[in-house]
Amino acid sequence: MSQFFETAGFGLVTASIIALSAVGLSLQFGVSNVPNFAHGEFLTLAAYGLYVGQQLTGSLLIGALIGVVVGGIAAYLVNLLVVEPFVKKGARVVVLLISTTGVSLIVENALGGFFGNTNQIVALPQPVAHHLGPFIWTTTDLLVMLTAVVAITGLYLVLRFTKLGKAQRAVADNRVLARACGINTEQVVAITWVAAGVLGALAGISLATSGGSFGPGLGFGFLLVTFSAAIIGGIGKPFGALVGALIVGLVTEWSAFYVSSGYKQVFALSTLVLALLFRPSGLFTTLRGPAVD
Amino acid sequence: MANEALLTTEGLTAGYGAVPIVYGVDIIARRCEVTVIVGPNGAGKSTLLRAIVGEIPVLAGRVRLNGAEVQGMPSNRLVRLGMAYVPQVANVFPSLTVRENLEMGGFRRKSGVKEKISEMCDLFPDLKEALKKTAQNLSGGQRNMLALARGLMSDPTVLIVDEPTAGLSPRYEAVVWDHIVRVKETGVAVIAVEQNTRRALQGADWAYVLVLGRRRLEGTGAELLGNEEMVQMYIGKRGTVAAVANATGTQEEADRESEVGSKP
Ligand SMILES: Nc1ncnc2c1ncn2[C@@H]1O[C@H](COP(=O)(O)OP(=O)(O)OP(=O)(O)O)[C@@H](O)[C@H]1O
Ligand SMILES: [Mg+2]
Repeated sequence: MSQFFETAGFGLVTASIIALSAVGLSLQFGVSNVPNFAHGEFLTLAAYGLYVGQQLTGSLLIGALIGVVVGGIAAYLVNLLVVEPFVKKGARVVVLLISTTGVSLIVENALGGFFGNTNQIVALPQPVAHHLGPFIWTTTDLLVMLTAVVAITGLYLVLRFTKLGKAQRAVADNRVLARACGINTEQVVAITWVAAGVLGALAGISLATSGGSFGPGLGFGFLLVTFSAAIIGGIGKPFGALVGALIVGLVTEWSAFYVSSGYKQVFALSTLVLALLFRPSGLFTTLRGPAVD
Repeated sequence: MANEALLTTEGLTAGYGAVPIVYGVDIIARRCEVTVIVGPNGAGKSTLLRAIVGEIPVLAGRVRLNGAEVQGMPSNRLVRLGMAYVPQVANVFPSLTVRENLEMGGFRRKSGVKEKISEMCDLFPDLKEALKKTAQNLSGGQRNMLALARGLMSDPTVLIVDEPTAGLSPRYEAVVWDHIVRVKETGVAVIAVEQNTRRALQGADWAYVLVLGRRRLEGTGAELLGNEEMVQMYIGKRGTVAAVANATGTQEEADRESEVGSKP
């Protein structure tokens, strides 16, 4: 039984990382209505930002800050240079699927070419284990969970109470009407991409520091669990993704412990398939009701 | 002496892609007047409005707003120049609360959003009680009122509404038209597209009849109302249905029946 909880403890850490990534993806999809298969690269680029920053300054914190900035800029550029031009031309979803996947491949291979395909090591202080109730967490684990809680709470407050956040929700609901209200929808969408990039970056930094090392495939390998969580939560509903992340995080860690760690992705996908069998448009279909008229 | 023209179109041609739906349309909307556009289903009334508000490209011609040429300008910039647009469908933000919908309507306001919201609540008492509800939980009538109020939040000089009473019960229809008339009295030029031709012409200071994307007739509401031939010829199905139904019921009822029948 104690192992059940210990594993649940890992599950919560994994869930926090998935949540950061999936909430970002879901937010970006909800507001811009474009699927982004390059989302994983925000994680990867941020991890390399962390690595380079740490190499240059010797500080993990400065490395992390650089990683966040890199993730935000990368997302801004993907929207500006790839997604918006296609959207303006009225491209279909499949075109965006292919072009963002292309971006992902280019970034991954460029990083491999530049840094080599071997793993980079993140230098970490000696891990300290904390026993909290039935759970055992390292300091890094606690920081990762804290980051997720703070970032996602912050996002909630922005969306709920600020003018920008309300405009983001308005654009998500109806872009044409938002524009007719005087909202610069392109700008709101661009800001949303940056937010998604920053959340993805936090996920990538968390992933790299929890794992201790990473390679150019870091983010792409995490895309499946990210999409699973986002879709289980009802894609486009960032706070649904939070619940999706909890489910996927716990299921994958328990499956890794009780079955085999080789099957994590299989279990993530099975969870997704099961969830979709019962709720084809995600668990939180009621958050946004039927289209008006 | 005629009121000042706040919005004019000259030879406006527009459509989706390169194929025009409306051809060379000239209209004038004046301060303190309701300018109505009527015509059969698919005549291009909504398309004309979408072109005016910058939602679809203008293929030829001009749009003037308060004297400035604005064709091709995106709709978010037109708001700053005093234009407000209430679309025919999808005219509220369903997942936002009523209050948030109104706030979005006042997005460009530098100040006075709160005051304006309470003003809207006085104007539409139904909304006051529903401020915290999400718009998707409103009734059709409340939703149309919210859409109208949302449009008024920016203090527009030109208010453009597409079928503000579609699908409404007669009671709400009367209420909405009441408000439209009140809005024009505050100095606004109102442009309204309306399915219920008779109702629209009653409320119109000036009306245009659009058929197959072209302007066919114009006149004061009363003139066109009195022109039975015009009703027969250009209001199409509605006119015929109304004329037949007129033998058994009142014109008002006939209009409403055809209204319900023509809207799925
Ligand atoms: N998004 C669109 N893309 C292509 N064609 C469209 C689009 N919307 C409308 N149309 C076409 O344009 C024509 C005019 O439509 P429009 O909606 O402007 O008519 P309307 O006069 O507003 O009709 P209604 O009384 O039914 O609202 C129709 O033939 C319609 O099929
Ligand atoms: Mg129409």
